[in-house]
Amino acid sequence: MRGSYTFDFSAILRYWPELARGVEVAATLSVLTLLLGTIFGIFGAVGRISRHRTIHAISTFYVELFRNTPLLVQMYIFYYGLESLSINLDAFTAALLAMSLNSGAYETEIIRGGIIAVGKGQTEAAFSLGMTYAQTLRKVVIPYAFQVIFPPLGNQFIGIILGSSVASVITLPEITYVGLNIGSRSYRDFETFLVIWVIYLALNLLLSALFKLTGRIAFRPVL
Amino acid sequence: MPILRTEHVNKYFDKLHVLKDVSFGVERAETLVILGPSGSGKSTLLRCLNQLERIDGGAIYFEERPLSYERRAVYRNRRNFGMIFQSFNLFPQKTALENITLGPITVAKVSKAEAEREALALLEKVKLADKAYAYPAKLSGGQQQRVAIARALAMRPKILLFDEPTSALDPETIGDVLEVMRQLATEKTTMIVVTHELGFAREIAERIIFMDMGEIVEGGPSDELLARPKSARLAAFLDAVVHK
Amino acid sequence: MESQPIIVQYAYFFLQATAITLGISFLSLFVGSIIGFLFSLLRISRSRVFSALAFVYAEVFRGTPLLVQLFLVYFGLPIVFHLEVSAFTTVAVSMTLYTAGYMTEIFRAAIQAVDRGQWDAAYSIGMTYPQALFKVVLPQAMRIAAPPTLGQFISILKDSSLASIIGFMELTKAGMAVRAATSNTLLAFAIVTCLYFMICYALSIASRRVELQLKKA
Repeated sequence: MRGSYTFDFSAILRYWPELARGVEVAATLSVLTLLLGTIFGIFGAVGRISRHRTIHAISTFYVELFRNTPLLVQMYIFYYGLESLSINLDAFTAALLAMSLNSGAYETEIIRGGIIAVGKGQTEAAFSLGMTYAQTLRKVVIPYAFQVIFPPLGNQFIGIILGSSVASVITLPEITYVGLNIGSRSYRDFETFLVIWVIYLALNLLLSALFKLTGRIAFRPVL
Repeated sequence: MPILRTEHVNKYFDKLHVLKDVSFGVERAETLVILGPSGSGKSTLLRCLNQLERIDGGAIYFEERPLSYERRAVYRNRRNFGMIFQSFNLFPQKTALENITLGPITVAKVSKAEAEREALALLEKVKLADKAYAYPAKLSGGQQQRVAIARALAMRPKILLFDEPTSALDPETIGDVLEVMRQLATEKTTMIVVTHELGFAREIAERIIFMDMGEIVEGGPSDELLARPKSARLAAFLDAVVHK
Repeated sequence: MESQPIIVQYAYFFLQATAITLGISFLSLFVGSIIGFLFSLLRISRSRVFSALAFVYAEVFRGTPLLVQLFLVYFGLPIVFHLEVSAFTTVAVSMTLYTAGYMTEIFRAAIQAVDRGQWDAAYSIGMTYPQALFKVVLPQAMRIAAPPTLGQFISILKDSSLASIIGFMELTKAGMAVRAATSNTLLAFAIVTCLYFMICYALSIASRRVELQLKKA
């Protein structure tokens, strides 16, 4: 005995303005997370490379802490945890803090990898040509490191966008939260989430293509 | 009647014409060396013989029968050949003995006991009986290459194909491999050896074919060819090597 | 009223929840690896259709949030299959499919990382493609795949926290439950954080050690 289920997507697509706003919130959160996360990442990478015992320890602790605990728990701590200490953050700020610290930990390793990838050879060659430390940094290390970092950073950004879905549990009106909302109002959760799913997939494919294109244009091999 | 011959073989890698109208033959029990500079196509030619690469034109005849490219025929044909590689390609997680017995057990369906007996005999032959249970990582380059030769011999091939066998070896260990190859020659094994190393070619070749830029330039008995090259290109090659 | 510290009162509860987290993660990894392994074979096959199929599977399951996949299964399963599903079934199915997407990539990369020369050597002694694959290449590929697989397990452990959102009682939900029961938010979260950290950190150290060992061999 199998009843058939009639799909009704039009009921969902009526809500496209809300979905669009959800995408906007998610996009804003993600871009800010990437920027903040990169700043944390740079500090972290410098700290991880540093020979100063305390700085190295602190940055290592930061990286290990945020990479070995779930993002969801981190979000709960910034939203509900701080609340219990009478620090009331709104959902966006809490999500932003949690996600950028989380992302920063991963970016630390990415950036550190980029710096290491440059290797001694290139810097020694630059020095033997008479370049100063600053010139070497500017003209040799940073351009090459950036090229190495670009693809994993692109992946990181996509990871951030997918991770933004977790912010729905602290009531941030991003895509997934909007989905839950629409679903409960229309009683068509399944169709709603199929649409949500497709939205994320589309964002992913679009951004991946964009990153690849940018990479190809920006890092065109010099003839 | 040559045991193996090619007729007007042509091959392209994309637009690059790597083998141009190559025709040659090798007789039974002969040691033929294909000599030439890097990029001359000699390794590609060798790999076409045991069908690791496909040809785009011409034909290859083994015992006067043309090679078929049907999948199962290819698998069967390959057992007529044994290939020894420049980078040895021993199976790293298997001992020397296991490297040699894998083929017979899996492909020829020989029993493990018999395969091991034969393998040990082969290891004796290449003078590595005491390394039977060693892993490739613990063997020197020359030792690995000798195990590779034993592995190829275990399948009882009719022709041995050597692809730059000594190019990755230290000069000291080349001698050991050379000795094994000389022994194989006295046992009337048919061998085709591809190399760019003139000294090595001089040592083992009975007949030499000189290749350059995808085509056979000239060929003949090794002493004659090397002493009196008929073509300008071979003369230039010999000259360049001597003056290195 | 007993005034034992919360930690002691709820120790057993947290331990159980931790075990559940480990269990569901391991289950996902195990079944997900089998599925992923099969898909990776499709991925490297010469058939464009099979390869594309496996590619699409991996891209879709890796390229969408796990939370959305969980909701999809949670809402979809009853509708499509007319099954009354528990949170456990939802979580198990969803996380397994998600993990399989990642394992497809991991196994594919490992197989392609095996030196080309190994294929040549196997073919030269007359092996067929299946023989070469199973007897020579795959054993080596499995070793290469070990560190990333361990890394994936650590990821799954963290991702399993999302199961709490659909009511599955694992470590994070346990933390929320204790928080509700004791009104001591900070302590509950601290315990949960510590437990996740200890397990994941220990595993990541182990993973690094395994990687070094494999490099030596």
